Amino acid sequence: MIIIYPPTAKGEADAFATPEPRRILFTGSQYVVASGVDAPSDANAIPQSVSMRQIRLALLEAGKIDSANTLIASKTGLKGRSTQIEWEYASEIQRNSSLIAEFGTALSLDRAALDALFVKASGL
Amino acid sequence: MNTYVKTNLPWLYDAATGDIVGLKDSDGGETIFAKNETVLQSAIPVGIPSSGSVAANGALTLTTPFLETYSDGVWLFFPANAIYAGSLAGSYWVVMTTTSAGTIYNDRLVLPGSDHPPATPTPIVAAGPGAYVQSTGLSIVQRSATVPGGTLGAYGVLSYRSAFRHNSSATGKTWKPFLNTTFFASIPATTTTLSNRNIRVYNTASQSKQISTTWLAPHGSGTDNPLFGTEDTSKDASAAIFYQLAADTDWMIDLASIITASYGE
Repeated sequence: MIIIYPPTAKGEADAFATPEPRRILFTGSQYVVASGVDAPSDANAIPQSVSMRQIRLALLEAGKIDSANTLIASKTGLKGRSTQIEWEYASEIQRNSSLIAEFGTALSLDRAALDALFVKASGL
Repeated sequence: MNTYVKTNLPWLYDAATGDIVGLKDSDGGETIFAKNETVLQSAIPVGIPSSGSVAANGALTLTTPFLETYSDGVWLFFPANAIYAGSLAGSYWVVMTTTSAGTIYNDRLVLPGSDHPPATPTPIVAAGPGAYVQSTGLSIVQRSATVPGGTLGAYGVLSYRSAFRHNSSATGKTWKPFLNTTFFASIPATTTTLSNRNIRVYNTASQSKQISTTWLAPHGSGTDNPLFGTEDTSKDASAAIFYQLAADTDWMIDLASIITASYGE
């Protein structure tokens, strides 16, 4: 659904009151909100990688950082230790990495929530 | 340049538009002229300032100063009611006297259209509303032009290039080039103070299928993977550049942008 709002304070408030998923543009004379089935074009905005700092800040804002750290700390064995080193020392993390998929399961974040996490992280 | 007229070289005309598109040699060979079109070029600064305050008659004070004084003027975005009671959201003409103070005029940028400085800026005569908070999470148009239908052909390319100033902070200041409703990059700048963005949007054997490639300078942390679109470029299309802040204490100014279209078949 595409909704147009005037360039007023109420128009901006109404635009930002639109439930997610949504995309809000200011086109110079109006607010244009794409939501629901019209919002997925924002898929182009999902970063394929973000820095480890960004993903940690995004997890912090989502209230998931402690759970993520607990998950990482609980890992054992060669593969587990390898994941811990990656989490500690890698410079960035990929959206399609196995760890992000694991976060999804362990932290109750579905695909859309993980996409949103990366979008949020890229702006931090 | 030395020139001469060669005889027996009939013009080639586009059957649909009647435009001259090339030459036919006397031996039957055809030479099609390369077609490149600049659909937008501007170095009139335009951007999004930080939060700040507006006193009477458009007297602006910014929370976070710019790095330069835009004393020749700059288009700056303000949310509704920021300039005076009832003022509309939009980009207004502002003449800065320092990096953090200036005068806002009642001239609003209307895109797509001319971004030339107003010949005679319109003074604001109104009480100042005081402090305002800049919009965040909102993509705001900075540059916009129309790409005439058929300009690209099935194998053409659009090129977007921008240079922009911004403050150094950990929060993203994002550049987003659009073709109609699809954006082909969303690349935040953070702890530098000058960024260049360079993207190509190619039609891929169809006027309604695109792929993008992106170069960053300096490299950002956002995606630079190819992105895809299905915009119909056989009809007039909008090519635009949007900016977005994540923090209201940040700012970004587009110093110059250019969008060019190259036909391919």
